[in-house]
Amino acid sequence: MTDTPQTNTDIMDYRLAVERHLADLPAPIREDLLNGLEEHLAEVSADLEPGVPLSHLLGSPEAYARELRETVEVPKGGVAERFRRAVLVPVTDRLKSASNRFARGAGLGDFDDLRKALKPAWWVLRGLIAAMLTWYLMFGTGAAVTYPVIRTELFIAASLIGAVLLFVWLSLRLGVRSQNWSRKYRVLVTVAGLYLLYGGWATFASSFIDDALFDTPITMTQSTTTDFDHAQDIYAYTEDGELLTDIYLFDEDGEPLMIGDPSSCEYEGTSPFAEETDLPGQGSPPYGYDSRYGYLYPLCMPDDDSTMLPEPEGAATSSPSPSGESSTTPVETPSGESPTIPTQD
Amino acid sequence: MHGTVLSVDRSQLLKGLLDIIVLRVLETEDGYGYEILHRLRAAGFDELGDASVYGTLRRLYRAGYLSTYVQPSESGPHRKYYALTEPGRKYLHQMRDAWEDVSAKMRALFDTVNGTAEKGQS
Repeated sequence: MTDTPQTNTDIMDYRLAVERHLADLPAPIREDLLNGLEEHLAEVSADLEPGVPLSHLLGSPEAYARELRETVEVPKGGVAERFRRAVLVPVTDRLKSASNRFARGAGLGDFDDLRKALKPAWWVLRGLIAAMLTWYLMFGTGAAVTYPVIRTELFIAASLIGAVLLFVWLSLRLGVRSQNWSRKYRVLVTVAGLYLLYGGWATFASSFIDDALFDTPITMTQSTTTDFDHAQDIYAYTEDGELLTDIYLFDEDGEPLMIGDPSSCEYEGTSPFAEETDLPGQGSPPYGYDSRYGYLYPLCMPDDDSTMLPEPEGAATSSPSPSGESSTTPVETPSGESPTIPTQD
Repeated sequence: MHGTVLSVDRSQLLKGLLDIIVLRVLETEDGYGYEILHRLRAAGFDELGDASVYGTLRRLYRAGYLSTYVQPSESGPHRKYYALTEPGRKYLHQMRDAWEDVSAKMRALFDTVNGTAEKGQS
């Protein structure tokens, strides 16, 4: 039988598979066995008919490696080495056997065949996660708050697609190249990939799904607005029907609650520039915004003639008439502690 | 099932004798890996696999009992031939002496057991 590319590939694949199964042997012994193995397999393959794989004559690489292992004298080594051989190696062998049974049961050959077939898919997944993580860190967090102008849908889509294409390509290239690297570097690449997978899972399971998929405004850092998604402003009244103004809202953790959009109000006279332009103030919060305390409510003052307070059912008191006057003293002073509910004397 | 057990037991027995078997085959004529396996099969050692012979050859080579040289082949790739070294011949003689000693004692043991059993039955 003459050497053909197919034969050489078969020999190389068989040798690599045997090498994997001898990975636990001391390096000098393993190297000695493997250095001459390729020549030996070439001698053996000379007896094979063209197209017949080596495994047809020699059995599976795993069985060959097991038989080979029994012919070598391995020094006893220290406690760790003996523990590895007595416990870890048998456990690993059993896991390999179970994996092979699993793969063969599905009609896919050995588990190594399945692993080889799944490699490109893993490379694509790894690139996809790297792309999404990078994109998320750059544009999906509060870091982008200061650049609202670039947060258009077109930019978001283009940057995401670009990141996916780039990182998937890089991951595929890394995967192909790392096949020829030494075992140490291949393990490093695998560990890094698994860490990436963990990072992707932790990030997207907790943050991305909430922020992106459920379309919660990313730039806001309030603890939750789920119950107030429909609300555009907050009007708080005393039991006497008096509108409370200049108030901050906090949740039970002392985090500011930011509901509505301060820039959506139309108002007159509050903006120092309103008189100069003869236009009603628009697009700026009338009472300012402090990142520590959140918005001052109400964001927009109600019309004077509107009645904002709904009449409580069965209430004995008369209908209150909220006024547009604002109090100049904040009801409470925000702090890290839970805010107290304002009371009416 | 019984045949499988016998085969496994023979295989285990042969593993302890791999050195002497391989050295003995090479004592009369040098050979390359796969050819040595054929010689052993022809001698009746069907249980021995290629990996066992190849691994034993490499171990004996590391120990200095075998040397190697490469020869071109008309029908395929170059072949690596194994030959006994002088330490290898001495080692083979020691192993042979040890085997004959053990073998004689085993035979005697079995004969004794058979004799005792026969006496007990009669």
